[in-house]
Amino acid sequence: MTLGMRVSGGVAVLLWVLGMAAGLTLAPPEEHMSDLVRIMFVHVPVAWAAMATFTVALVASVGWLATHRWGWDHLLDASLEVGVLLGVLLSVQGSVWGYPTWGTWWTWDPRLTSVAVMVLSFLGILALRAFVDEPEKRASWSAAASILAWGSVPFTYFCVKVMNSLHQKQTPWGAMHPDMLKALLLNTATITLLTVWMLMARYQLARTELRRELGT
Amino acid sequence: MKEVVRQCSLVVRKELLHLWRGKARLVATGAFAFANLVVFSFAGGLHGEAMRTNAAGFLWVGILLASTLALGESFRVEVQNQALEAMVLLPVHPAAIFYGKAIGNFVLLSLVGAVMVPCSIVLFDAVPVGGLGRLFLTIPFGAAAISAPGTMHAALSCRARSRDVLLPLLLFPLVVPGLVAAVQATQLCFLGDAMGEYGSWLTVLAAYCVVQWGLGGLLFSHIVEE
Amino acid sequence: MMGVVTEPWPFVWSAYGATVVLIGGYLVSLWVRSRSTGGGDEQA
Repeated sequence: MTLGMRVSGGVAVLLWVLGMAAGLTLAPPEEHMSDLVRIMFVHVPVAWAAMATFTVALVASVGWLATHRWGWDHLLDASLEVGVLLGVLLSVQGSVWGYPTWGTWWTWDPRLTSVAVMVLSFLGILALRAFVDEPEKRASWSAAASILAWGSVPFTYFCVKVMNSLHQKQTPWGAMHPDMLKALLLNTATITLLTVWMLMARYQLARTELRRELGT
Repeated sequence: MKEVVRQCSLVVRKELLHLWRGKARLVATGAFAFANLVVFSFAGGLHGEAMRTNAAGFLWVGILLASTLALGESFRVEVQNQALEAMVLLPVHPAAIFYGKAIGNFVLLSLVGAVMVPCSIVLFDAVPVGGLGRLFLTIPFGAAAISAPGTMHAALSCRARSRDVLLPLLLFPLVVPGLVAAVQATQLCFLGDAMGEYGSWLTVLAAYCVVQWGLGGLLFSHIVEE
Repeated sequence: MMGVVTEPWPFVWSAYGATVVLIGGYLVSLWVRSRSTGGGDEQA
């Protein structure tokens, strides 16, 4: 890892920890809004970061298939792994929020289901990458599989939405106090920064691994 | 374009011939699907009412599990003889290979599904009050929803290590929407369609098929070339 | 159970804890892997 990456990584981690500390200490404005709302300060930014990373994977897949430049494959490698990480984290946070709020650890809500299906798809593609030895094939195959996986996301969302519409509605969480908005924005910024850094670090790792593999 | 269609029809003919000659594969896939249904009845606790409400789900999961065997098998031969590479070199257009193989798998899964319908009616005591004709109409749509992504991923996983684990791992998350729509439509056939929702679920299923069959044709060239 | 929260903090700590464990664990894995591949950059 270069010095620049180490320093920026340290800064990103520091800001991330500060953001979480702010999320834990900035007082919720109203008494009837319990401290549970603090989960949102880390949940919503991770949701955004996960979606963005999934989208990066799609862009990288199209990029590789169109140009066959290795950079796209490194980016795909990075975004698959970081996407799975953020997706798993998102689901765990969602469960921890859901149990005290909705009375259940898991509901087949369209968003939850889409994320879970996406994480499973990406896990499968990571396994595929692990089991294919030729770099060119690995890149093309995982890119094709990622695009296919993306093609099914809107359908998952729609199907589950229609299926669930008869059963339950989620409660909206009302208008937001300025302090809460600050905490949310701060955490969004820090998580985004950290995600970008993780993608870059994983990208460099992928590049090194490929160079070693090709023996150059 | 015309050439691709001609090549595709040749591949389909080859697949169907292969299917006919290797009837054992068809019978084995059907037997496996049936074995699944039997196991599901025990998993359902042999409870009449519970089995009837879950009949649609059991039927499709049975077909899906059986499909992984059939799909993997359909590419095993090609890989052993390096026939995929040979076909591309001939040259057969990759899209023609994809649609040919996918149609072959579609026919096989439709047949297996059609046989599983009476089996599940008997096993789960699920009289299709929503219409037997609709039930048989749903089967090919669901089979198409599995066979296109299934053909893509079978082509990938059969040339990777640990292919038997890889195929379901890749395929199952991908077919979730197709499975949901097929199960919902089938459930309406089994339990009755009071709200008239059958048409919408079939439309969703068809739209999913269009996207997966389209993407498959576009992407297949990238996974057989080089 | 339904909706009524008497003690929100265990849930808050769990959510933040999961965040720290998962992201922190991944950062450590990135660090370990980049060391074992020998630097992971052109300047090395």
